[in-house]
Amino acid sequence: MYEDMAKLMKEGNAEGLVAEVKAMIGKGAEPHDIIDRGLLPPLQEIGEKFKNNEIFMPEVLVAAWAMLAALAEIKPLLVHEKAKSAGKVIIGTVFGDLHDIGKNLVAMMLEAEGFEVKDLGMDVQPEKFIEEARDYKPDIIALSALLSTTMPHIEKTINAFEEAGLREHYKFLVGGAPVTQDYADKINADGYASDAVSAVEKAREIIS
Amino acid sequence: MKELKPRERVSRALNFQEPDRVPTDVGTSAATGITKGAYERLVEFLGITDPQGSVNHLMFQTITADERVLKKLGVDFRTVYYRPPDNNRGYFGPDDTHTNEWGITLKRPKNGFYYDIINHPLREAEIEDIERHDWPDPYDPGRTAGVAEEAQDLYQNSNYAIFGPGLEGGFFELSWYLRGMDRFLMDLLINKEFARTLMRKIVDYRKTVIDRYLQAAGKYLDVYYYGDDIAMQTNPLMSMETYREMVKPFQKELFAFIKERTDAKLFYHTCGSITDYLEDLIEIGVDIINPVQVSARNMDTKELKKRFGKRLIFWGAVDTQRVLPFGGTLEVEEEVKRRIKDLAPGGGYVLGAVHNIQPDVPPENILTMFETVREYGKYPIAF
Repeated sequence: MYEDMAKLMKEGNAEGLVAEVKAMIGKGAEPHDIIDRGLLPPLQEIGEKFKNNEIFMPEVLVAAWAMLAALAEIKPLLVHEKAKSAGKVIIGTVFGDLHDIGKNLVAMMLEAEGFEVKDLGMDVQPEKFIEEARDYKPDIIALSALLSTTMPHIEKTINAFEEAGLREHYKFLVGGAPVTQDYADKINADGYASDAVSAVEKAREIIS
Repeated sequence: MKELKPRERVSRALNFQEPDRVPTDVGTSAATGITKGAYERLVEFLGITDPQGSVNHLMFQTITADERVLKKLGVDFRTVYYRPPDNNRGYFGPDDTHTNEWGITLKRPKNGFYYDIINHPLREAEIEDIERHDWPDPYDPGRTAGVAEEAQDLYQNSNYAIFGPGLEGGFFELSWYLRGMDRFLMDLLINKEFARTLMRKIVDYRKTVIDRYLQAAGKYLDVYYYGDDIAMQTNPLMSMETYREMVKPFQKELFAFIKERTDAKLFYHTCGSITDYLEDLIEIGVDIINPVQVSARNMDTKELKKRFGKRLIFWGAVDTQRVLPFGGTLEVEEEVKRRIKDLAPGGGYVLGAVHNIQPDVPPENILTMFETVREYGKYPIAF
């Protein structure tokens, strides 16, 4: 059954995967087991293969899409269980930047791996991050930029937290095409990841 | 060798012969251009007080440059651009937004340099919605008005190599502009009929416009421009299997259509890590590859010249991501010399920046780039 789920997910067969999940729930499978044994292993495999240039964006997107549909099915059942959150994350693309595909993938992967994620979308002002952070109390604030011209806004956002005296309350995870480990170090971010799989690993690492 | 006229220089280089020096380019298209910010500082630096030059591509903010600037830099090409349609349905909205004739809405963020897409009109579309979409009119006579006269005039009264049409993205890009990139990439795998129907619609539209342009200018052109990004910095956007099944057949058809109508060399622009595609692109008629994004994975110019240098012309290759904006004079010189050394021997190279010269590139670096070609780009390459 778990093999079937892996196959359906890799094919991007969202309907098939949801049907399979429903069937398993009907047979009494634990929601957590379905995620941990059914959804995460193929997702991790896909992430690894993408990192190694064995598969490409379309394959990753269709799998993530199917997984999201399956997760939507399972999530309502999780509240009845003692949910173990891996951590809380606020994520967004920094101001001046209207790109979100990579950021969405990171949000999706974090969610699949048990993080509670609040996605603020694109072109997010520092004040908005601060306001939401006060409210949501995340462990991690994840900042994304696609353009070299908007990358400095990552630093500006972190500085705004500094100025508000809130910098130490959160861990900052940064990423996006022009972002490098060097840049992350320079702006005193807590973590950098080059892709969605690494982002999850890094998220775990910086709050452990 | 005595100094050649630009057209002769280019002709030799494009036929894998060594002319007097490496031909150079900036400003020929919305993918080999100069952006507004960089242009304004350059003309000021050059002391041109009454600069001509207008934005020719809203999304990329590239400029059709002043003739004096092109002369000063020693650009070997002049472009005969597409014109806007007579019935221009594009309009500006509130908050610095613009909806173009395809129904795609773009927005420039506050203090941003570029317009980015914020609304993909076919995002939720089903296959039957494609035909119902309000498509632009390929027969609008405005698009090619005066093209024949301009091309003929350049051909008869100048010595420049003639480039065209310089604007508009290819069918793959337009497909995802309309659909959303994530959705269209998924369509390529799990909604193939939709993807094919959409690409078919755009290719047919394009063929009509191209046909009219080439009827007017085809016989004068040295280079025919086509731009359609199919790669990211780290990777192709899709597997070779997906490319060959879904995208390549349309490219093959379109390139053959172009080549039936002009003897110009076919220039294909795709950013990113594209080495994996090159055999296929050569097979379906691509003569020139641009921009040779040297900062992308697997794009070493020496290696590329070794593998493809007898069959493919390289155009671009001077690093825009790091050297041009952030490098000093020496670094720019070294970069230009390196690309000349790697790509120029035997001809088959036009030197230019990788993609448009970005707003943060200082004028000194642009001038250094062109001065370095004049000094070190003389054949035979002797350093």
